[in-house]
Amino acid sequence: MDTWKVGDTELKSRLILGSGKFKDFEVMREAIRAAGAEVVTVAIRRVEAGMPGHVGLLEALEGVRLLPNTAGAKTAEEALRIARLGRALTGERWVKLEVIPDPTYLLPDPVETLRAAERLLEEGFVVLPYMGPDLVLAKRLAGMGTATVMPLAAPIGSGWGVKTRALLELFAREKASLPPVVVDAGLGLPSQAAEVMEMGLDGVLVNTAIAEAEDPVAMAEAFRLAVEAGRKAYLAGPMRPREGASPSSPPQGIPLGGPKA
Amino acid sequence: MVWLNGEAKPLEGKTLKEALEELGVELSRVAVLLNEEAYPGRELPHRVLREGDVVEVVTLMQGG
Repeated sequence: MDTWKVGDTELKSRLILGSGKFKDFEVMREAIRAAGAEVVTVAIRRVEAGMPGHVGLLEALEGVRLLPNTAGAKTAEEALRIARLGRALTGERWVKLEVIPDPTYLLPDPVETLRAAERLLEEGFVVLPYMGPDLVLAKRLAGMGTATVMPLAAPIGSGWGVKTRALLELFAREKASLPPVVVDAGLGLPSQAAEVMEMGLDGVLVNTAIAEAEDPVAMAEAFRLAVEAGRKAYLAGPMRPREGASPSSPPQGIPLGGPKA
Repeated sequence: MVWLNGEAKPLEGKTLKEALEELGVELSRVAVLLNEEAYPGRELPHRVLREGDVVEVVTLMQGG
């Protein structure tokens, strides 16, 4: 069985699902099932009258491991506050750390992310940091003891695909000195999830590409199959591309009716 | 005044639990930050609210 570990927890599924943007809990729950996801992210927000989303959410997420995020935090201090509330709310030590000061491209702040990760680890959190595809930062986070590193493929929710491929390849090359690498953000299609899995990265985190599909449940299944296919292809040891063509059928014995060559 | 989720409310003198129950908050579904200390809604400290206290009451939402 091909499993992987986040912290001390062994996981079978390499597809982490974001719970945002689904039109209702029923579709979300079906999509989680179709994705085979064991871990699902959630956000922490103020209780406000008339705000949809909280009543019944816990019930809808029964049976999966909750991964509270720090979305909305622009600084390390804000991320710490949201993380502590997430832990108080769910009893869960895992936190998806995101510190995002930039509202246009939603790119993570590396300095604040590093500061927040250090404090959260001191406080006993299992930290899964969202980050740019920066191998140096990844190694700094790994050195501190984060449970994963989660570089982006493209801006959050963009669906642009694997725009950071060349830099993600460095993560693949340096796997031995990193915790599990989960590509988080920017994937739009299952083939893109397969692409990063074929590179040997450990998992993907997908939300918008599934939630905004016309049929989110079918798309969740498509992502599950793609992640499995990509992983299997990586483990199978892909062929090396060569300079030119190489016939797949024997070049001898072609029945052309002429004298034997 | 007490700052509750960013709004000034006249909650001084009530306990945190009383104040939230009066506002109709279902304690089992929330976490509460009182002056930077986080508590599960079911394990609130017995604490009388004072002028200037900052309280955040949060719950789970869908999010990626």
